[in-house]
Amino acid sequence: MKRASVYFILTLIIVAGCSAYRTAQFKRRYGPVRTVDRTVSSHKSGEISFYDEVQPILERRCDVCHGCYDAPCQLKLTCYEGLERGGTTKLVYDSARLRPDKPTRLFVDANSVEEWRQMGFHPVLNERDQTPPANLENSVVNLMLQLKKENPLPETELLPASFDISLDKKQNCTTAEDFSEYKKKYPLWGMPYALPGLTDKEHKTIVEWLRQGGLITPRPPMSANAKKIINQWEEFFNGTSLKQQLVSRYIYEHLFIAHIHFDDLPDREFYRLVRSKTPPGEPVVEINTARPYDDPGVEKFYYRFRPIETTIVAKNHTVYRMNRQKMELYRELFLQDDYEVNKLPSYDLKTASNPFKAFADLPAISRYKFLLDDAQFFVMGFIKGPVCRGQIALNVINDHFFVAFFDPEKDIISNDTAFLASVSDYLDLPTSGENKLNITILWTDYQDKQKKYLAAKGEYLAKLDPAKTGNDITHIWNGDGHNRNALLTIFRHFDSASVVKGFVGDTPKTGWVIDYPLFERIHYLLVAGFNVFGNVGHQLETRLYMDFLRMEGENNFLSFLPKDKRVEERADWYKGARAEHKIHLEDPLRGLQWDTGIVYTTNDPKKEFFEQIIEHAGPAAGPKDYLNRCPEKNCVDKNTGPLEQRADLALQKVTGKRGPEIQVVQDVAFIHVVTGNKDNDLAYTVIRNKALSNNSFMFGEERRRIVEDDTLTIVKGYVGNYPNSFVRVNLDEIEEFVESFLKIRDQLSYYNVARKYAIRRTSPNFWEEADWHYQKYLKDEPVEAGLFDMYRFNRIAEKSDAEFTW
Amino acid sequence: MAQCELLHSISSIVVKNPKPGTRPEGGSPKDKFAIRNPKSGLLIILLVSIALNHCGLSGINSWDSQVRGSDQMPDSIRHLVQKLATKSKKVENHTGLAITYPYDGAVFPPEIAAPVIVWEDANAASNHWLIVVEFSSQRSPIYAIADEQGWAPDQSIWEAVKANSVRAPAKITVYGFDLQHSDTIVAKNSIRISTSKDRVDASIFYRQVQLPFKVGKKNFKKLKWRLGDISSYEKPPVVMENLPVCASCHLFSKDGTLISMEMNYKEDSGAHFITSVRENIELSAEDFMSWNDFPRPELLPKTRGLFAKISPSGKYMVSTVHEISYAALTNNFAFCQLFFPTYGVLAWYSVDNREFHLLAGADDYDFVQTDPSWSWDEKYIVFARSTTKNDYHEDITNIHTHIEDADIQELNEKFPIQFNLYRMPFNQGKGGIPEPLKGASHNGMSNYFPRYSPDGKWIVFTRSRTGIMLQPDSELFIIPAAGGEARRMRCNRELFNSWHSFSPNGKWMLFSSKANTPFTEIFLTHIDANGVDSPPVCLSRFSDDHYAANVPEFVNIGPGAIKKIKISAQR
Repeated sequence: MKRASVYFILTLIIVAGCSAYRTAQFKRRYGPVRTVDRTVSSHKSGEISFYDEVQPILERRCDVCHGCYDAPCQLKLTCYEGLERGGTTKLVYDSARLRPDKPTRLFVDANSVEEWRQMGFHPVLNERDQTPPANLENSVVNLMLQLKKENPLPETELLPASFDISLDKKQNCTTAEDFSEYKKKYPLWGMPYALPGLTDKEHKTIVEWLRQGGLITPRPPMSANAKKIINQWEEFFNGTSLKQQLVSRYIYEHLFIAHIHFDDLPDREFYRLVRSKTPPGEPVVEINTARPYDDPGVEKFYYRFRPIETTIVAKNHTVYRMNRQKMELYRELFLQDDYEVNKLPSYDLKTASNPFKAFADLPAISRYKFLLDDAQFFVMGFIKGPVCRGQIALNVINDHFFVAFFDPEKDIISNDTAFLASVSDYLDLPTSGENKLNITILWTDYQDKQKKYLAAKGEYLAKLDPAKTGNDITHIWNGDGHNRNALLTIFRHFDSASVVKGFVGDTPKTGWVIDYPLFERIHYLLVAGFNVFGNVGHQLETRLYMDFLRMEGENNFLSFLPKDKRVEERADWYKGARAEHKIHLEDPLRGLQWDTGIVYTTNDPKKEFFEQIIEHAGPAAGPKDYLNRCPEKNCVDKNTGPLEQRADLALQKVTGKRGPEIQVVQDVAFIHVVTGNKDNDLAYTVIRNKALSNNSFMFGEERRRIVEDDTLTIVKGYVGNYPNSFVRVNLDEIEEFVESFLKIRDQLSYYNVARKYAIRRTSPNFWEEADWHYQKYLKDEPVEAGLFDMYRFNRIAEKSDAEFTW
Repeated sequence: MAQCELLHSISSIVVKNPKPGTRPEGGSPKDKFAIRNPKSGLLIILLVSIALNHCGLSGINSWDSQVRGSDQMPDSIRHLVQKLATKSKKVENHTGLAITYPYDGAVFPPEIAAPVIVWEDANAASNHWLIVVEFSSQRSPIYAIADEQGWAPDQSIWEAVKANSVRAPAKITVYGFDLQHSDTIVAKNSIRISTSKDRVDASIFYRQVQLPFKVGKKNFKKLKWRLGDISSYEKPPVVMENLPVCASCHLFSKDGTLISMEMNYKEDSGAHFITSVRENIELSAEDFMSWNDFPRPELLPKTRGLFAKISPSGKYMVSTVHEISYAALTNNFAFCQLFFPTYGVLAWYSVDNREFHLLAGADDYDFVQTDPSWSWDEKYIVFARSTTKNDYHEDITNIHTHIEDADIQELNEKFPIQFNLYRMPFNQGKGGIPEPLKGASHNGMSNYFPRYSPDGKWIVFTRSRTGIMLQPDSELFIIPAAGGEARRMRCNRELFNSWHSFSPNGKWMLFSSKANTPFTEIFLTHIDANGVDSPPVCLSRFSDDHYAANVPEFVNIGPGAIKKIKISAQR
């Protein structure tokens, strides 16, 4: 054995020995670990209430990082159950995982603390003798808060370089027993990490609650109104006809990640649609399959609504509204007598993972209309779902592009149920192959299928339209004149993304036009079929297949442009010899012989097409984007007040800045315009759109950057769930701010502006500002709003510890 | 016997000329005094040995023919000189011989010590040389014989030369001849020098640094500061050495009562001392201020008080602050570093109140403002300005010295920063609006290191294609103080001319150049009332082997006014 190995083993033995020694000491001092029932029916006088006093603090100060899948150490503080579960060193997002992990979804994959302990979670609340000293000494939460109190965030302008705030920061998931080591190593790393600490009052409240044993009362029962509404919906979903069962299955597979809001219930009440072993009227026993189309494993199951008990965080808050109109729509789309369902599809993976097979009996047009009616929600699912985390997952799309849809009534492919069923083999998705590592073979297989599908589609269309007249503007869905889901804009913010209604921002590089088969496949690839606990092969396949789907959407878009411009336009989207070669090999531009029914009058057909879409959509296109597309100078929305107009006029100049000079600007910055009257304060988001020569490759993104084409978009309100920066500016100084912003050209000039206007991680008013944005978001969008994530909040600058010497 | 006397006399030339341990003007000993023909060199050594062993006579190599009955030169040699001198009148100029020092037209201060006259003779037949100094007056010439390519006149001869070259230049002619055929002159060339009636009347304070430049305590200890007197035949005394820290730029108040210097006291790179001039200066904490006390955004590197300048009255200091600098060590020996600030503003410091203030007008963060200079009445500040060049740094948050395997020219092409000179009122600290200085701005060149003449009429500045210091192509230009047409100064040498300083009386200006050697030397030029300068005089006694003599400053003090500067042991 080599000497290094011997040392390594010795070190391991010593470390393990130390840890065991400390655990033994804790046992001697505080007794053995055991299950603790902290539930009390009601609080006695002087006892701290979790729901009334503790949870609001956790929500505003802890959940901004400890929420969702990427909560550090999987410690979810968004609800009591998360606290009780504790933390683990296992990562949810692990791009190097060779075998799929067992899912660890709170409320789903374990039902008791003991089960979580068996799954490797360690406690952060005291599970030894329940005495006040033990309650504190054995609580990682208390120890972390105490550490911060003892070593507050340095009162420096810049957060010290020793704080790692990168997305892939190494996790340090300490236990109470090992906390002394953690404290020694990272004295500044108390919680909240790399942010200002709690106020004394907040600190005392939580510590006292912990000291008292972390007592919890039962949640208030569901309101009568909620029960009534849910009963109606559960009755609908659990109808027994084959048709109803198939429809319910279809809807469930599309809404399983939704935060369902019933319009007749309070704004902040949300539910999940789940499969339960128990029928309506009984407590929900959720069936915990990894994916919604996995075999439920029981003969009979029920669709049930389960309240969301956690803090609502914006990053996974995908709201789907249910109301009377929705029920009517479902009935109109799916429960008419114009088709029959004679047999239910099986749950074998081959069928279940392919919606064109599983739901072949449902009319394609109905399925498509179901998707279109809430298109933003479904697209949001692509980008707020678990798939969407990190740079590589997201560099499959451009930073800014517009999305329109084929009209379900006019598009032959989208409403031809028989054709889609006939090509369903070609529409297989790689997610049907369970966690394999032979990516190359799978890749070739799916590439081949995709090509066959496109060929079949081409032949089919040629038969129906031998003159090849092609699409005109009426082939674009106009939202039926009112539905604002008709036009969407997608922003990618490096390692996260957003979708908003309408065409927002200046003319983007690319656009997609989506038809039903494309829409459905993206959902099954990225949402229904994506297993966040899957292995590296699964993750790569998903990413690779998405390339095809993106190109399909882009090619649909190109088919509306003049024949002689399509190749040129696409070449502009895929610059670079390797990209050209790859795209030609994988997806040569088809249908070049097809005409377009749109008459173009300028040399910029792309821009003209977008303009025609907006005109065609009419009211569904939404308000004019004064901030980003103001052909005449100084145009403002006259429907707004003078304060807003002043801020608009000043801030719209920001979009004039582009190219290399905005490299230092953050991807997502929230601006708080202080008007002097708190109720009138304004919020804007500045988004940086980074251009790539092409999206053909997963890696080497930096080499494909074309910084000269980078742009900024400014939006009123909030876009993005992970702000990288807060700006606070008085309305009286807004012009001065914009002027200095326009002078930014490098890191230092950015720093000079930021130190004057930005809220820093070390700003004493950091939390005050974070709270303001959250409250403003809630005020503007009472249902759709969620808590912003601060995990990607950047420094205004990071200084090396090295000093310049000569 | 005559032959023996002659040989002996020649041998005495060999041993006397030049003085041991003294660097000849205008070049390194190796370059200027190499015996080109090894065979003739061996012969001379042989002859000298014979002469020394057998003749036992001594002799003098120069002869002032004005002085009757002079014993400066043995008769035999004098006869040879006379013979040659007679012949020389008929001799046309021969090519191949060039007098490399003094420079033709050079003007010497009246109190300066004698230089070494140096020439290069490419003629293989030349193995001995006759030097003739002639005057425009009726005064008789001075003669000398040399068997190497240099002649150091002794003090009396030199005083005679100076005294007789005030009204009109003296002509120095060097003739090359072959000793074996002493009637044949094979090479000849002449220059003219003159002596000004304007005295310098000031000392010169300068630093010596070993090349190549290196940082570190070991190297800081080798730094030396000397206080030089141009009239002395001795090397200037060292007044400061063996420092544990780095120290560099220094300046004195106009009256010479205060000295200021950048010195990294207690490891503080922004520390400067300001103290009264006295024979023994012992520096303590009270003598220091630090530019690092100027409030600084955290992202910026520590301020070092770059190009800080004490005002002529000693009441203020002005410096670059908030600076970010690009610094690289090159692979070149003579131009071993590239350094310039890419960002920075000017701030001033009140010496009495110990307070700092930004200097309005030179506080625009879109520019780098640096290298300030005071007008002698303190009404104006002239400074160098460029748009910021922070894109030259790979990472602005991690500024460090680069080690580049490239020479200065390659680096200049990579980082072509250019500065313009701006002038603005100081207005007792209130500042004003900076205006580009005509003739020293926006001319496609880099303009920097401005210095006012004491009468306030002129500004002399350095100009090169790029950069702000240590540039091979840097040259000195003069403009009217309010701006105007720039005139290239005559004193410029072929390589690197910079770091100039006016004498307190404004009649002389010294500067540094690497024209003769990679080890920077100090030169002196006369400036007349019209700002016209002369070909310079090299202060060769101010140089040491392996040391560059840099940052020279005229000081309005006598030669012995400072004897020692040291850091107090009580730190």
